[in-house]
Amino acid sequence: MTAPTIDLAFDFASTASLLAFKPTCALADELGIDVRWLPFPTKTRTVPAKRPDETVGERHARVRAEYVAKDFARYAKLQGWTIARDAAGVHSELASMTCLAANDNGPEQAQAFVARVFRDFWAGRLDIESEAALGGVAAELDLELGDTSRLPAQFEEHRKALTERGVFTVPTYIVDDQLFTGRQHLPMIRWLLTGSQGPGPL
Amino acid sequence: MHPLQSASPLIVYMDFKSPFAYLAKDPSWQLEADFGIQIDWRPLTLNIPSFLGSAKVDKAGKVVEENRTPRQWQSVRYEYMDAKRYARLKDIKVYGPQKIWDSALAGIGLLWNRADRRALRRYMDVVYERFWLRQMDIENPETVADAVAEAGSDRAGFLDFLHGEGRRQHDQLQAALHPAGVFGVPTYVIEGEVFFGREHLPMVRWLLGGREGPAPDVAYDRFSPRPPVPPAPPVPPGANS
Repeated sequence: MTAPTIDLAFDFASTASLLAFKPTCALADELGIDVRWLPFPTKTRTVPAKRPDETVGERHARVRAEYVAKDFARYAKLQGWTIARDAAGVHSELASMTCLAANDNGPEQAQAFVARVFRDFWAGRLDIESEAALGGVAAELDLELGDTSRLPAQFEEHRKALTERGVFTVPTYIVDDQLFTGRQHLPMIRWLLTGSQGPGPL
Repeated sequence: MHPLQSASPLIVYMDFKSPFAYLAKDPSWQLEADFGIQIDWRPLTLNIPSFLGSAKVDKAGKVVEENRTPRQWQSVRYEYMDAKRYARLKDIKVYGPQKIWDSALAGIGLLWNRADRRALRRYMDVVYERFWLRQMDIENPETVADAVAEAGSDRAGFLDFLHGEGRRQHDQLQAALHPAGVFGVPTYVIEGEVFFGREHLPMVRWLLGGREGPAPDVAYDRFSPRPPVPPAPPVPPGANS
């Protein structure tokens, strides 16, 4: 029987993924299990500008996006993150490929890489579209990235596999073949990984 | 009715056609008992096609009409699956609706019952349960009026309210929600701050409880009832003299 893990599809450029990082690590520590960091770049969303002729649907999308930005700010502060930038127009594919290579160094090293990239990107200190900058992070953490020319193909396969498992947004946890979108499901994930004892969460 | 202001410490926006609001109903009512408050319950009538497209299914669940992008379908399917798995843990039955309902009449019923807590709770229990069992047509004024009467409230009075003041109050409130930043259900408004989704219940409880300990993160969780406030110790004779 393989040891249980928490599989987490995430995106370095996603605010919701950033906020999932620390609580996910805390749960994994509590349960003594590993997290498999599965990078899954998504389209970064920006808050649309208010327009006088917006439709109800456009207004709903704008109000929701404004709320999401506010909600991110309050919980990021609560979790102690320094936020000095947004992710508008940022492509996280390169960081995702580097993460795949970092995963080959073992769970602890992979987690250290994810932690560093999240922290420095959102603090405005790391360009995640720069191979040199990402290579620098890997070198500081003593990560072996191997032959990086294999990464684009490996990444496409990885992304396709996640899509086939039903992942379409981030952060998405995959536990017991069930998908859970968002860190609010961590009590359910704890309950599942500890034998579904007692009443489940609500 | 200002969307973010109330005499109550907590406003909760609900829509009967949202399974997530259904799941939030009981843990939200629990706040009243746990914190000794009266929630200001209000309707938010979602315009689902405006943000999730629309679809109709037949009795076998086959899609017969649709206007959704693949991404909207993925999102809708995930959300119903998610609501159902949590509902199962609470023995709540949630059958997927066969069309997108207009829940305004049921929302006006909520407004009508606000003054009577027992009737309001009964009304919410009856309408949520029957609607999600596909046993109630919430677009039919007579059916909604029956639920009002079953909850112990005045049926004829409700029908007058529905066609006059109730409709006006409902429509005015709906028009004011987006400008105030309220767009979905359940939404909690506390201290003028908007929290969308039952995952914020830990934060709402923390705020209602006087910010004791570190602020909690979001979570779908179950909350044990808070112990009752102990009675004040007897005042020793002569203590106030």
